[in-house]
Amino acid sequence: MKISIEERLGLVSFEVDQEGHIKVDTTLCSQCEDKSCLNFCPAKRFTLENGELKHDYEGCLECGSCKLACSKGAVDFNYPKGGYGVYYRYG
Amino acid sequence: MYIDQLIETKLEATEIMGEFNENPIVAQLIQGGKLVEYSAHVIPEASRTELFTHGLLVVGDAAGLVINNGITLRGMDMAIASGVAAAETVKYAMEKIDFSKKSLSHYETLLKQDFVLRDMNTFKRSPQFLKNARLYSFYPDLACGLFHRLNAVKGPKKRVINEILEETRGHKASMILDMIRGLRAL
Repeated sequence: MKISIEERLGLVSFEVDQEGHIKVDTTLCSQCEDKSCLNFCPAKRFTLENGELKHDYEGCLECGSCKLACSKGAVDFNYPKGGYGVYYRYG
Repeated sequence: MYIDQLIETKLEATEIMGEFNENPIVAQLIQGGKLVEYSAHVIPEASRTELFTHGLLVVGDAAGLVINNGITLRGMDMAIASGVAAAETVKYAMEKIDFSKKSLSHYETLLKQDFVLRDMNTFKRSPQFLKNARLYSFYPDLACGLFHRLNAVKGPKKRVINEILEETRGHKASMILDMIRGLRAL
């Protein structure tokens, strides 16, 4: 039973703020060899486009692993403003 | 799973649950089920910093008050108890109108009286012990290998103890060490 990440995120409700709650200093990413964020983010919010690291705060599950695990310290993660972000219905 | 292990093994975080669900035993249990929500959460195990300072008390997950003893992952009870202790401390500080670090150290006293810091101390070696990769690969393989030896229809069998000794050949020293560490940690 393989369910794509897009399909999984489709089951979660989000209230999207205009301003992103994740900021990434991509100048540090260009020097990063492992780019482990591509793997460890459980919502696959970090992707590579033509070798350049892109991130999308929309669909973020707010686990905070990027803040803790980015080896370059390039990710500035904060919880979204009150009323915005992910809504879990089942916990 | 620890984030650093996730990085080391280059596993995809999004695939772990899928693999678990595909395990024949699990698949049978959830057959016909429907996914209703998907979520992710980081558990801040063993990351306790200061529990209090001038005008500030830290409770629950934020204070790293989580215990993983390999069987249960406790956080909820610690969150409730530290929340109660924090409320008691605020009440105590309000009466004295003193919110200094010294006054708020009452919080630590309460956590030590109750179970929270006592349990944190009891299981303080547990996070380090549970990072041992052998627990997740070598020992499960060993158990499977041993049962295979004991049950496979293939030639004459040895006595159980001899089968165990043979299956663990070359690993006994590390197994004894793991056992001692495990007994101390858990």
